[in-house]
Amino acid sequence: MFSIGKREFISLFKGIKSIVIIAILLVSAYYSTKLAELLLSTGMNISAEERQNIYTVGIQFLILLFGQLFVMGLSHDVMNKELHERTIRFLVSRVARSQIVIGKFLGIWLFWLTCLFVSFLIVCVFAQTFDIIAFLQLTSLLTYQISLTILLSVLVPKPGFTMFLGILVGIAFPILIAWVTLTSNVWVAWMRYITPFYYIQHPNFAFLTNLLLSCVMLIISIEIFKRRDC
Amino acid sequence: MFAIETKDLSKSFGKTTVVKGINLQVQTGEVLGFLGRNGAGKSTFINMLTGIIRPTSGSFSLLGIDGPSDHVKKRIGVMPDYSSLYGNLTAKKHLKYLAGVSGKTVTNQQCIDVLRSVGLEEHANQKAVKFSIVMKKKLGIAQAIIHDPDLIFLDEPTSGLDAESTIEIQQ
Ligand SMILES: Nc1ncnc2c1ncn2[C@@H]1O[C@H](COP(=O)(O)OP(=O)(O)OP(=O)(O)O)[C@@H](O)[C@H]1O
Ligand SMILES: [Mg+2]
Repeated sequence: MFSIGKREFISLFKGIKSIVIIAILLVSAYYSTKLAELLLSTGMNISAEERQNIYTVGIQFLILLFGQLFVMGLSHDVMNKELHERTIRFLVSRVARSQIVIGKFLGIWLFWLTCLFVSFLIVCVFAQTFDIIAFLQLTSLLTYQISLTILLSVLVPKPGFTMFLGILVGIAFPILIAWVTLTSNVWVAWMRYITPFYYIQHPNFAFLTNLLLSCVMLIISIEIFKRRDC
Repeated sequence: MFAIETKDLSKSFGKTTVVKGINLQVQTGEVLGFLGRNGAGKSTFINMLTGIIRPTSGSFSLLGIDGPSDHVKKRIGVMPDYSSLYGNLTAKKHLKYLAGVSGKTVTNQQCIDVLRSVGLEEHANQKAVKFSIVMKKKLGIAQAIIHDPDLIFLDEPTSGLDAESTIEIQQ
């Protein structure tokens, strides 16, 4: 499990896509603090709660809008590439299938946790505050996005198709989720309870629900993968 | 205890039954070769034992442990019939990674020793994408034995190889 996770983690740092995404994240972290300073200097009416997380607002928007796209962009083929090329046979004959999925999850999760942590550190250097609750909320959001990515990669056998799907889902999901979270239309409003934005609207511990939903998606992924011939 | 024991092991894909009620007992220490025409179901049979595909019915045990079992996986070595390698990993990194997946840490020297035994010593630091078919087969065998398993499955380790390499591998 840990070997698989480690390899996934290391390979995520390689390649032009990761470098671009990491760069975007770090640059936004820097400008996030600049933006906050600008907003504060205008003397706008800012509540204490807002003042608390204003420094990371740039990172928050970036992850809300593009998190799913970034995660999918890097990891859409995390499972189906190995299934397609049949390298997965080396793994399934060596270790339990649940451990393969969990190992891959841990590798991706640690990658994003590292990126997010460094971004928050940059903010911390300039703003001298570390917004722990915002950090945990974003971590829960990324956890959800990673689990969804893994689920799709197990469900859809063709890597080419998940790449296409990844772009589609990455762009459409934030818009859809924002809509179901904010709408008063009862036909779709229930969906907010299975999507992640609803649980990170306010600085409280509701974000833990996202972790629960992630677990459910991972368990479904494992059960599907267990039933598959490789 | 048998190294391999199967009872009425069968596999169907949709309506076609490919492996039908195999009863087999293999003693520990025995080397068993499996012959059959193309499409007879040899690979399908092996893949059931190695956890790659699920049997439709019947049962089996490996090294006295009822399968399919995740516990026995650490103790078996498998070279699947068709599998590409991890193109961007070198031969040595393949062995380190896959031994690690089996829960074993191996030294550089152990990797080199195993690579030497299959005749890939000089290519230890070469990426697998650049390997010829025969070299890939040899690396396939090396990864099946790197974690020192008690039971080894090799699916067509010598097909497509020239006579010299075949003898090399059989040794
Ligand atoms: N996933 C699958 N879905 C449907 N049919 C399959 C599948 N895998 C194998 N078969 C069929 O099962 C039969 C046996 O295949 P198998 O690969 O086990 O044969 P084999 O004895 O190993 O042949 P070869 O000598 O060519 O390696 C073949 O007719 C093949 O088409
Ligand atoms: Mg075969």
